[in-house]
Amino acid sequence: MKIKNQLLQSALVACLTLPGLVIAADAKLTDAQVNEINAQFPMPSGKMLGDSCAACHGTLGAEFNEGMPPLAGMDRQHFIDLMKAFRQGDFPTIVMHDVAYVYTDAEIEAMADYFAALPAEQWPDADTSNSVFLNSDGTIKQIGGAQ
Amino acid sequence: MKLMNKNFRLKSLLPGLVTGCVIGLASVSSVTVAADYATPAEAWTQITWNQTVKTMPEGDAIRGAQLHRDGLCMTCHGEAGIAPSRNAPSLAGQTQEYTYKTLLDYQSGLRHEGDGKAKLMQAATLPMSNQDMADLAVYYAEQTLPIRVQAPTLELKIDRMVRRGEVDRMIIACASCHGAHGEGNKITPALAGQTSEYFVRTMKAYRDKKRDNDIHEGMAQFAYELTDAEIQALADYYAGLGYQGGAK
Amino acid sequence: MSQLNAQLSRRDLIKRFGAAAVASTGLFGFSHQAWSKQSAHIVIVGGGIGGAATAKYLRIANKDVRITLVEPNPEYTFCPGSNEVFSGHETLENLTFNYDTMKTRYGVNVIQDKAVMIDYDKRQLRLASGEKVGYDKLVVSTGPDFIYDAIEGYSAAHAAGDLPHAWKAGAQTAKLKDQINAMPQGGLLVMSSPDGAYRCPPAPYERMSMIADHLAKVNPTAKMLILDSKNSYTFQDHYEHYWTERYGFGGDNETISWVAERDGGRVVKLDAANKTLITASGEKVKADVINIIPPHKASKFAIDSGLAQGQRWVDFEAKTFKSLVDPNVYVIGDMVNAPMSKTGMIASNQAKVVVESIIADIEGREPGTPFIANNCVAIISEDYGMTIADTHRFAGDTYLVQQRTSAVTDNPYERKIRANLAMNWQRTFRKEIFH
Repeated sequence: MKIKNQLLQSALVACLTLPGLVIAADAKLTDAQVNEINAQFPMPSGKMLGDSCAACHGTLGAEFNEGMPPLAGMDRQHFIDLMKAFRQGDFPTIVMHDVAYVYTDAEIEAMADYFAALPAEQWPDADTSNSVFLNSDGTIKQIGGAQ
Repeated sequence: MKLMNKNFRLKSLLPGLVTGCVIGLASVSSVTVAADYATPAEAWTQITWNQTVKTMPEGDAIRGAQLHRDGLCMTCHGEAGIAPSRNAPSLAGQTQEYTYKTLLDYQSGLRHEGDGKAKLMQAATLPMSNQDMADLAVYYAEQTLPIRVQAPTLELKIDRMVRRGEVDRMIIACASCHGAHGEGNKITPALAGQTSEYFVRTMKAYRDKKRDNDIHEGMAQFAYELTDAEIQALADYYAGLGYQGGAK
Repeated sequence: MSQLNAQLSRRDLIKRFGAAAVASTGLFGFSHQAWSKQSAHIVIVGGGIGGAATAKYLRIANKDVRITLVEPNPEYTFCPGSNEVFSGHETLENLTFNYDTMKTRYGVNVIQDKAVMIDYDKRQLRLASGEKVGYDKLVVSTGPDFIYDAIEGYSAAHAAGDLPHAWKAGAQTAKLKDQINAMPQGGLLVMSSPDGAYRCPPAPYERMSMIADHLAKVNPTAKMLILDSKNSYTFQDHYEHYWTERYGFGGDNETISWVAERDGGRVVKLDAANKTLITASGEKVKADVINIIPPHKASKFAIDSGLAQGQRWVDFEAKTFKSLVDPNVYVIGDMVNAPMSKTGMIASNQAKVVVESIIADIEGREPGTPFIANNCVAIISEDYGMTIADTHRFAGDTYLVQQRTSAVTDNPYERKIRANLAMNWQRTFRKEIFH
């Protein structure tokens, strides 16, 4: 399958230009560039990385959608193996091969740790209170708190 | 390129000038126009199913393997039909008839579970021919589940339900249809190694009358009486009969 | 932490919080003893995706902070999914949420009022009602406003009346849908698509596709024209590929037409009385239905409160999303000047960066490195979907973006499954924000 690699916006083109439409074709952050950035700044935490997945995989990875599987409670090694397979592009996916390619080994491992520690239970709908996520009065328990 | 003559194009859109080019959509296109999701299909009877099985094409496992990959089946159901996550069923070792019927039922809209849950599979089956379905069915039937060395332990009450059934609640032994090792038989699906979350979701869908594509309530009639705890215990048992995928 | 609350009088606290806290059990998820802790008070302006996500994730991260959300409307209608209302695949009801879950599950004090000004020195937010709300940290997520006068003759009054832009989902969406349904057979619908950064880059073309899908069934001789103020757009290859297949795009009998800016597509004027749009090249196009999507800018509140500093968008410190005007004020969502698309997923993930930043301040530590993802599944019809994946890596004073788009495909499985997944995604995303 053909994939277009597109990189837009370098640090030099930063804040005053309007983003989104100016796309430099066929460019990609090289591993060296990513490594350079990663050497300069601490790695984002597993929670920071993992919570950015929530729009598709649910709050704290706990949505059992038939197209986007729950990540909460997933076996650590299994998560790592899958993400690396997606990253290499040798596993057909809907979008994950285009998502996973940006992550370093260490970032994948940090996310694996984060999700493995979360309860594997469907995030409750608005009117349910019998949940590992909620106290009996409907308030939320402190799970996966600030890093 | 095609947008060169802008003035002409703009003018051609002015209502007064448009009339000449109204031939339009009658002959639409090569695109398959999406099937109407609301169309209900005819429920199966034993007779119609028997006829369908007779006309099931001979499947080709190699073509099935190709479609498993190109059709994105593999994305959710795993490399060799062993689901990589909790919310999709494993298909390895499934009986040919059950896979074939399931694919037909998704395509026709007969299989649904409420909450729009079957729509993704309906979309996935819309492009399939009956030959495609038969190919996939043979491919999955040929895949094998790694069997756990240690058989799962079972509480007495559940063990009895699986092996002997329950006269009081008119529940026939699960094993009598699904096999002593959960291997399934023809239209009765294999359960060994099934993802437990998927098993639970399915049983609750039968119990709560959200799923009704079984022939003459062949499965649902036994699910109505089951408690959540019993369903979970059965799910754990059958999941334990084969490899569970990586989710646990 | 007590100095954080120095600005809040006891009376003020009780006035703003006391009544609500007593009225509803479990509010804030902690007992009244917690009051004595004088926990930080976080006030959020705007109850859309960015604001609601901030409130929810703040509560997940910390049981004790006091959270107030200021939002003028009793309900929020999601923009993601609202184009599907035109094709009948979605309803406005499904897209609309009230703030009950915010109140009861996440212990958020929701004030239905409009924020009008910030007193930075007193750390107070002034509301339209005249009330003042003290804050320790203020998060501003109002979304954008529209530059109506970019098109001469167009106005907010037109938008609220017979010429809805429907770029904020709700009543205008329903109005535009009614107009499309009332269009005469063989009529002409014209859309003006904006330049600059606007909400959801592919959305004008998605909208036209959803309308086309509907018209193909009820008004197959109708024509649709997009007059564009730019020369290219996200997923253009996918849209053109599909439109060519289904709507004869590029041929003499195309039912969807697109005119780029360079070919005279920019609309500069509206003659509302004659239902006519006038382009930069002087071309006049009379339509049965007009949908003008105006260019965007920072919200009136961001401008009035000085956060925009006279610019079109609001600048911020890259690592924390703190305003450059005042470090106790955070700015997120479609109004900020970020090297990111203006999408709901981006806003929700910016909210998580802000939450980390606020919690780090409270705990007296350095905030962690941010990371913002934007993974989008878009649709052209029920049987064609495509994906784009953006990741934004923090790089000191800005973010570096990596982006991949799925290739145009004739694989029917990829097309259909992605299209279906787009709708699944919207369902999951709504829950992530409001449940």
